Amino acid sequence: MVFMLYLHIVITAVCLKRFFTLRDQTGFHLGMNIAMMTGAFTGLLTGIILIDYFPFYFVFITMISAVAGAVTGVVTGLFYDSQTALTGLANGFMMGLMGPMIGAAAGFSMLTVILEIAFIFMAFLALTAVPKS
Amino acid sequence: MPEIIFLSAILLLVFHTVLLFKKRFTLTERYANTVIAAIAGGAGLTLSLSGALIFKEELLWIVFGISTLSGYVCGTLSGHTSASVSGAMNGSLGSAMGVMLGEVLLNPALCGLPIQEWQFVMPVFSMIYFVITSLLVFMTYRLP
Repeated sequence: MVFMLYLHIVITAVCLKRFFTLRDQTGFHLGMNIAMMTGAFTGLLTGIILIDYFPFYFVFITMISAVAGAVTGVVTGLFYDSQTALTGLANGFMMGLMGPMIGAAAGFSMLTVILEIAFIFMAFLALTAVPKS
Repeated sequence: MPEIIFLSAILLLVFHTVLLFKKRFTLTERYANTVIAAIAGGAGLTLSLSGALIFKEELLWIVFGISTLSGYVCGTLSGHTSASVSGAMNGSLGSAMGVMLGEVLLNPALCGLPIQEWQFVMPVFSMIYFVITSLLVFMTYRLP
């Protein structure tokens, strides 16, 4: 299970490096979508995986996943703009709060795998949409 | 403790609204959208989380209505109509999340969790988030 978290971190790092090299050709609307997407999925996946390991520490896991989502959103948003960073902060924080609740209610199921596949697909779509923006 | 956080979040929201109303001629539309989305999200989350811990399954519709309406009023007073739509949407989203989190904190068996400790940290954490967002917004006022 912790392999999924490792996989998500590696995929996010690779995608962020690619987005960083393409940041001059990216329009602000696509940049806002990218910041929201990475922050939200990092918060959700961190919460879902960590609440399965430590079910007695719901409050601290919620804080950790919210901070992780917010930091990823801010770091992605700072590639482009300060307003994009603000949007990424708000969205990553919200989704990070929701993650442990979903993970505790649903358990570790195919949910994490499907979210990871959706994240890879969306990152690929965003990479292909960069030259048109 | 949640009562102090509730009152201070209302004061900070009123301060934001007055400042946005004063600066409404210098705001561009995209900037107003972003700022009001962030403010309404943080305010709705803090207000409804502390309200869910104060009122305990009663009068939650008032808290929910206050959060949605605050985003709407804050957006309308900034002079852009699309900003009011963005504020109302993010305020209702944040307050839904806050009410859900407050109910889970009061009764962790809703999610199949064991009994938790340190529940009073959560409203303080959301208030810290709201203050940090407010500081970032104040810092971005000078660059339009």
